[in-house]
Amino acid sequence: MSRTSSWQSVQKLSVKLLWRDWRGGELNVLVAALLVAVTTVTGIGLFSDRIQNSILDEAGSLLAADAQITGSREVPVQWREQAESMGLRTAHITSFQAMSFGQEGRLQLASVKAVSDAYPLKGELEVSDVPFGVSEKTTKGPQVGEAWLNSRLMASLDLSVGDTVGVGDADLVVTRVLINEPDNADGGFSFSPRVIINEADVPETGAVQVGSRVRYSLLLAGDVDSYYDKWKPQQGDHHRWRNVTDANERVTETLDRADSFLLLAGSLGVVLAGVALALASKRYAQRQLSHVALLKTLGLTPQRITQLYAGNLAIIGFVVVFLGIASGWLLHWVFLELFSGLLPRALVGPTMRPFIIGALTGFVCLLAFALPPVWVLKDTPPSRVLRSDVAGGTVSQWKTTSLGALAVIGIVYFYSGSWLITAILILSGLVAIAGVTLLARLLILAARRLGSRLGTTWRLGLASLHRHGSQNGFQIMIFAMALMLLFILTLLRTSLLTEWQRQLPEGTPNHFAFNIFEQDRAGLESLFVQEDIQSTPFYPMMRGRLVEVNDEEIGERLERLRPDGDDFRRELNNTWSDVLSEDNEVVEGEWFDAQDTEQLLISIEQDFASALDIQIGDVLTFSFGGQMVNAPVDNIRTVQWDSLAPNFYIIFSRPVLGGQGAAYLTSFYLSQEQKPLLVNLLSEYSTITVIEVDAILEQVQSIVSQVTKAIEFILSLVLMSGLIVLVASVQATLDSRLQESAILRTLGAKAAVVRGALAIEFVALGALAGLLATAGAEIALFFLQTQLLNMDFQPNIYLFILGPVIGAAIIGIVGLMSTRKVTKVPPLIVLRQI
Amino acid sequence: MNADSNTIIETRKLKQEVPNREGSLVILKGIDMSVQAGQSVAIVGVSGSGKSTLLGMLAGLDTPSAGAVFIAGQDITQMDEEARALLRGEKVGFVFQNFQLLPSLTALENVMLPLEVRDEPKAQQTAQQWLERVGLQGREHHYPQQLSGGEQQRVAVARAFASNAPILFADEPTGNLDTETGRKIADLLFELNSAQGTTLVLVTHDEKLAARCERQLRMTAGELVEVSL
Repeated sequence: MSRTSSWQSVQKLSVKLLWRDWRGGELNVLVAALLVAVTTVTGIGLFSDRIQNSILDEAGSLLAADAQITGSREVPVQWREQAESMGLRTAHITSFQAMSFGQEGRLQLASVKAVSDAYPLKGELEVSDVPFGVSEKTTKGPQVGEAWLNSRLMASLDLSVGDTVGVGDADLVVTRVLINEPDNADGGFSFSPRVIINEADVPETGAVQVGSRVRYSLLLAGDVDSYYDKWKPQQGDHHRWRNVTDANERVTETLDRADSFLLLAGSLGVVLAGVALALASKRYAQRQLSHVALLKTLGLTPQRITQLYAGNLAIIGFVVVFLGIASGWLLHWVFLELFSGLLPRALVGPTMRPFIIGALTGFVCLLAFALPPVWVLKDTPPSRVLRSDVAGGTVSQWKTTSLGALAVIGIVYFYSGSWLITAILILSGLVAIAGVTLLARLLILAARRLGSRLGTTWRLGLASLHRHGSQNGFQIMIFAMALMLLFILTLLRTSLLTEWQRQLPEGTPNHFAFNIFEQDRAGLESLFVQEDIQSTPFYPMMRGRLVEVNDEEIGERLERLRPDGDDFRRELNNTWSDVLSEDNEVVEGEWFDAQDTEQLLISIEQDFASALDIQIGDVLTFSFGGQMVNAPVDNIRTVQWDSLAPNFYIIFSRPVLGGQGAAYLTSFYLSQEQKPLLVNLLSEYSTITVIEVDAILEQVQSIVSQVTKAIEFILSLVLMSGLIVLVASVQATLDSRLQESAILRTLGAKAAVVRGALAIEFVALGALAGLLATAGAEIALFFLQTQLLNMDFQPNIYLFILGPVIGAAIIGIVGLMSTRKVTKVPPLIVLRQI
Repeated sequence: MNADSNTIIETRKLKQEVPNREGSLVILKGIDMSVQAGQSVAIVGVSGSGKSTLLGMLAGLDTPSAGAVFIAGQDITQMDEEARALLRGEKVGFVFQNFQLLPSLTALENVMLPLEVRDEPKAQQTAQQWLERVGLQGREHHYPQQLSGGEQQRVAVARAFASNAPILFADEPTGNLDTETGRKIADLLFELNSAQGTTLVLVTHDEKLAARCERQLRMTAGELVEVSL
């Protein structure tokens, strides 16, 4: 017989047996577990891959560039030339305030953005032909002689497209209505209604003169990092570098946490699926033992048995990996849909990486979890055909466990990219396993003692629990692991969401008002009371520059310390107050008491202090418009910048320079219906500047809600893996349970007694597993929340009651559902099938 | 090797011991026997006497603690499992008490199985013919669970003969069947055996069935004695 044809006949047989097993439902759990693993990994992989690449590519649109150099002085021409010589693309923006004139003498102070022809370098402008109209996208700004006004300015000047608008001294034709700018999220602060004009029209407006407040920006796109290295030494005092991360700080943190969660959930999903796969494969192999014995009796050699079953696994692997990748692709579309609002406008296509990772995960799971029990099928003694009690080939428990553990560690590390997460999960796993071996045995023993004093059903149920001591110990461990992972994810989700909601509760201030002078303050306060507008306190604000720390000139200190990031020489907004804001926390020293307000002391923000190595007791010198003020640092505090309430690096204990020249700052919340009040407010107090941050707030809130949806979605996927594990685990011991129950029924036990005994066994198993899972979950959560997510940890006491109840309920239901045929099918048939 | 070239099965001092709590349990106590090609031999004995163990050894399904088993002149105790499997495929057919059909294959596919394992051409055709010979025409595409016990055993008999192996081992072939069906199966088995000229080694505790064989060997407490007829 030729080897090729023999190989072919084995393959033919293999496919035939596989097809029958599939139709007979023998492979359901195995295939489902593998499918979930590949789908989850591919889906999450594709999603993060496309998002990350798109963000890299398009996040620049938040700045309309990859980086900006901005300052109050014109950007030196040589910087632009240098950038261009390095192959970077450049554009300019000149921003200033100018009076704009509309129909019938209407006028409005507008925020003018004059752009060069190349603007925007990244992202797109959204424009329309009517105010608040449906937008279309364009990558070109206005031509010379044109002006694009935003809807609010169009409305207040009563203009339509085609009309002429006066911007300072220039008359320009309104050709488009501006709906959105790519760099609108540039702090989100549109001081006044916006108009975009061409840079060439700036001289004609006459608005940019010596002394006017103008902001110049050089936009850069390309390899900005190498340019930054060259540019940094030439920086000087008047210009700042901003890149995508600076521009996008608030969003990034939220997305980062969500990303960590998704990866964590994804890797746990794979681990769960792996466990399910191992269990399902063990059962599959168990049920193949008599077939293998028969095939060997009929002359199939061990080598060909291995070929046959390895071939089957390979077929399952290829088919399921292919399907898994396909459904992963669908899954990533669901994610994209869920995140639709905050995704970059044009998504970059995926790389090959997620597909490769999905396929690799499938095959690694198959090799590590499914192959070992199938591999030893070849060792099945053929004499099993004569006596079914002859043991089949067994894999060393040690080897399988270490192979599985290695795969689990590898998978968790691979996806989380963090040894910390890996260590935390492995540690909680070990604690759970150790706890199980000890506790499960004790509890099973105790239950047995208790059961002997109860009725028949209880006695049978608890005796069965005891009889399968080591098997049940193992099963409790599997249940406990699955439940633990589910508890971790569910609780983590809840605390993440609570944390986000706490950051941005209902009524978070969405407007800032500053330049409020003393004479306007009382009027404004009473307006807020009258209109029921919630506001933060009025903070006096004085712009001043830090010039010395302990008599060391700030430039020298910076040179010595070389802090990264912020430019500490810029003018700071300083305030004084003896009340500590809710979102501030003193971490060193004590907040100002009544005595402190009699002398000038400083409270400094923690990051600012540590960057400049400032300690309590250090004396800081500030320059307020040339007037020097010295004061010692009394305390150091943390500030929650993302609370969107007014916050300051420096708070003095009492008015600086007698409070001369200070203007006030406040923030307040306006609902959409209250929005028209803004027009009255601005016309009554013309000197006040109002910044609307409702757009950015809405953006953050929509991110939170979308991230929430995505998290719930992935959680449901992981829950599915968990359920598959439970089903696989119940099925693993199903045959012996079915057999015992069938014998009981043959002996005349009523269906209710049999089902009751099974229910008691499963419910007891579930409750024990739930208890252990709770302990493991609390430990893991402590580390995950404090170490990984920088959140506070609060133990969830209720879980110690809920955990066992949930465990008992889930496992009771899954167990009873899987064993329902015990009382439905005649016992003889059950006995024959086993 | 036995000088008699007609000997197809031979054992020499075949011993099987299994460890138990008291030390070890001797199941086969050094058995010497031989079977000529074309003979029908019954091994009888009470439950637990070791007859099935002996059958397992003779068929190369199990390996002894000591001694040798020769099949067609080859010492199978010196072979590895790979070689034994190949030998079984070529020389041995089986009929079991519990039929041992693959539940996921149809009657026809079950009969085809040994032919496919040996990669025989026209496997389907041969299997079809054998199913007809055992009286199961029209039931080819039924699964084992759709067949009665007697029908399942007919499929098993067809499978045993289809591979055209010179030796047939039968382990309590009528043990799971009622008397009437058992008789019919026995008739079929002996009829086909004599038609094919196969060597039949049959394990049973049914004296009537045993009596239909040319030789009877009685297994008592691990020892084998020829029963004079």
